[in-house]
Amino acid sequence: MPHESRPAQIKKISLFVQCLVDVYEPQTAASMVDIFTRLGLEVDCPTEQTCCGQMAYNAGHRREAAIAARHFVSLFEEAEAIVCPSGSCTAMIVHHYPQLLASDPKWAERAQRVAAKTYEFTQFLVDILGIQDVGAAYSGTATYHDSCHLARTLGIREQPRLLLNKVAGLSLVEMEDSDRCCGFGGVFSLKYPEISQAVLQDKVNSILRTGADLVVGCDLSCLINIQGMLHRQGAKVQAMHIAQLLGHRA
Amino acid sequence: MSDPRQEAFLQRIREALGSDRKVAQGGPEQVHGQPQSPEVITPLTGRDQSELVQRLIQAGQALHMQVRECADNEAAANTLVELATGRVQAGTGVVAWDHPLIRELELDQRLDQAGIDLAYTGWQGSPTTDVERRKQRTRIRAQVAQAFMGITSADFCLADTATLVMKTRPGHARSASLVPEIHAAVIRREQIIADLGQLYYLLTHDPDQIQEGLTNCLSLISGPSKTADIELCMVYGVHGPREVYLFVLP
Amino acid sequence: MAGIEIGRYREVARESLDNQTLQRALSGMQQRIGRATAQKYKELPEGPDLRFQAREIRLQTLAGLDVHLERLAERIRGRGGQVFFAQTGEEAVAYCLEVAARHQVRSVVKGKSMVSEEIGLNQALESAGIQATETDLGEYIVQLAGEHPSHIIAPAIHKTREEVGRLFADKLGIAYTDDPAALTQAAREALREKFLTADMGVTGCNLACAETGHITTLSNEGNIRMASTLPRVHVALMGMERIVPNLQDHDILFRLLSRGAAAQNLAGYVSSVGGPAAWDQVDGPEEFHLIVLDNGRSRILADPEFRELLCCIRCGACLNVCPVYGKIGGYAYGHPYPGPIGSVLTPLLSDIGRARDLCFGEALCGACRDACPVNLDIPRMLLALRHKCVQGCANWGVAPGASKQERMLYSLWARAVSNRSLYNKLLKAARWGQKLAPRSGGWLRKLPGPLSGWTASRDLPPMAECSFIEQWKKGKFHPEDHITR
Repeated sequence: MPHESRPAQIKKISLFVQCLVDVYEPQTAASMVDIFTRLGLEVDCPTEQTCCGQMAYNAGHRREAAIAARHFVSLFEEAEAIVCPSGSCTAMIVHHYPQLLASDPKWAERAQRVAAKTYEFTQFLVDILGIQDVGAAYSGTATYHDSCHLARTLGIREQPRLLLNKVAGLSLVEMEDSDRCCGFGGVFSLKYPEISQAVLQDKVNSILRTGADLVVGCDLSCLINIQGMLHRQGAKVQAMHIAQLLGHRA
Repeated sequence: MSDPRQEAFLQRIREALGSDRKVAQGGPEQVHGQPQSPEVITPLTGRDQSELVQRLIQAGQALHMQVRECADNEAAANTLVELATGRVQAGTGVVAWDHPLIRELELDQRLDQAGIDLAYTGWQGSPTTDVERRKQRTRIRAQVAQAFMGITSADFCLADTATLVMKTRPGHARSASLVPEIHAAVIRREQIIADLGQLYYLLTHDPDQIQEGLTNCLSLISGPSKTADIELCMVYGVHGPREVYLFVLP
Repeated sequence: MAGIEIGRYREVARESLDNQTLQRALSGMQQRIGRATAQKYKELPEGPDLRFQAREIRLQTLAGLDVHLERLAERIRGRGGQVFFAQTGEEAVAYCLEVAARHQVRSVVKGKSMVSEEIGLNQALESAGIQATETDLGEYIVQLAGEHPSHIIAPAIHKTREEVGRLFADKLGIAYTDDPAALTQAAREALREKFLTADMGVTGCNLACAETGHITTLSNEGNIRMASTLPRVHVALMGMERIVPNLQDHDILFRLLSRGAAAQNLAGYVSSVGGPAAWDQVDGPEEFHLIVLDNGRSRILADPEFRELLCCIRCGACLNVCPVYGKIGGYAYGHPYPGPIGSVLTPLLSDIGRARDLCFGEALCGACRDACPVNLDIPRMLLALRHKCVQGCANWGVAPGASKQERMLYSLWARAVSNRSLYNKLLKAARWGQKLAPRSGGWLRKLPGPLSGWTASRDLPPMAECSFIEQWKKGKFHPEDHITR
């Protein structure tokens, strides 16, 4: 990972909220603003932001994905630190942007610099700010889903758990195969729905077997996918983004 | 040696690699494995050797290979005869490598007393023509095919993985450790070494080993033949031996 | 390419999803072996990062591949073995048939060889009137059943013991039993006969060693040793990339291969063959032939995007962790390469354009990469293949493949993505459009057309009335205000 170790005191963070959070769960981003503000950080949110482009990239449409990448890079290159509530977007920016824009050396360098200061939300809290306890409180049991890009590409597994363990009143129970794919896979879920559904059913079964009230994750794409089936099957388990959960107070 | 077909084949590879082609400049190939200290060439004695034997016994247990330490030749021979008399089936016999360690046990007389045929898999007399040798090979093959037990020695035994290491030499039939249902091997304690890494180090650094080379067939045998191809149920004795015994002489 | 078949992915996947027996078998296998492999990597004395070292070894080997192959051939010939370099599958088959004809071979016993399946050797032998019997128990079972293997390491994983029992009763004439031990014994007896009377043994090669001039095969059953010891002639088939420079590299790779394939510390039988039996040895084959096969591998080698694929040592670890394979089984991928490795290898060895489903029908979760003994970046290569499918690629003979609608969609998306005001207009339209969808408790129950796959099994939440960015722009999150919830 091209991150510098512990950059100098960061005073202002720029939010990249992710298209799904923007459109489906703005309260997740609102919660992030709340948390960072309480921690004494200034929060900025460039309003021209749209989407990281991974959907187009994963579908093989690299020209279009590069357009999204260049838009992101120009929008965020003056930021001190960019924080994003999505492992898959962060992985896209950190791992794929530099290669995607590699054919133009100017853009490649700019992408590299932006990638070096882009962080996933829990990673930023724990690794950069050194914070595990954000003063959150939530009564209930939760299980945690390790999203694929977050866990495997970015290696972020411990940080969300450290944060969850400090939530007053919350007990964490691990599901079997917590890092097994939920079956979303982007356009895969639309193009190969029966396979996607079968993989998702396994994940839902794992979650149900824990008896938890809540399934928490760091990627809204996974959570919408999981909640979609839980809701359809009448299960009471709620899927919640960790940023939202951490925003709950006593 | 000029082989136009080979040249064309290799040339295609060179062209495929283009400027990425990188060949080590002269000398021995770069060694990637962990460097071993020269001490491994000298056999381990005393307490170290005892520890290895214990490791071997444990590893063997996990793999269904029975390891028995024998006080002397007499003890080893008696145990082997006991094993043979307990397992013999009508019309079958025992085959054994024509090997000094096995000859010393004087098994032919003992088994004969028990009414069991023993055939050494060595040349009878000194056949000088191909025709003679072919005839003898046919004899040996027939004897191996109707044997219920094959007795061999080994070059080394790897404690960590309970592995018998066997080169191929005259009088030491490859099929003796493969075709009969029971394979019994007899070695000396000092032949037990730690693991595959040590074996490969010895093979490439010990002058005697280097001179002999691997021979044209080097077999590593770790326990009896097995399969789990039917519903992942483990079954022993698919094609190779169902039972493997190792007798360790001091 | 005789032997390589691109499967009917969607159709077969659907059938597999409905096959409860298969689902149970796949799930059981992945739970047992998939998990155990990860544990075994952790227990390595060098730790799981040994995989990265193994990858380096393989990549460096490829960089000097011609030299290593040359060395291997020289040493094998020095021991009286013969080495044949086959550019294509057809050449390899022709050579095998020639050797067989010369020796009046009537029956062949086969150790497991994926290369032999890739080139369609069995069919060619049968056509020449030569009986070719698979001897790996799983391969033997599927051969008797007239089926293809569905997994690299456990070819008959899709069959129940009852099915095998009925098969053996039918084909071997034994009394019906569903006891695996009894069935295995029956196979042992039937195949023992074949081993002892076969004229020729054909095996594969897991990994050759250039320094010593040996080809090494791994098994637990002992069938490969049998096939390479008892018949008069031994023919070994080897993909040209299956080689390492020296013995120390062998050590590392075999320990990883054994763990990746079956969560073992070391396979039961590791057999290194360097030539025919010496004149003074009492058994072993009189002739040894090594066939080194290209069959499209040099093309993969030439492409830096895909070169790492040749590091694969065919252990099957990726199959044991893949959530997609775990649901659709091996047949959906075609033949002979199933699972994540097959999803990249089959398009590159045959036809990318025809293998679109293999390129796109994956979730890109990356579990395969983590399980791989050489850390193959299969997701990266799948993404590269997808790009070629869309954009076209002259080098690989792929025509641009996205439909007109898809191009228009992504074109529009690209414009919206760099223009927030257009983006907002589309969001508004979507917010309005979703009101037309049937709902329940506020959630969308049915989406039209290309989106209907989602709602077949899931609900979709409604979009927020106002996006976060729009709220931010309206000043809702001014730093001085306190957030209330």
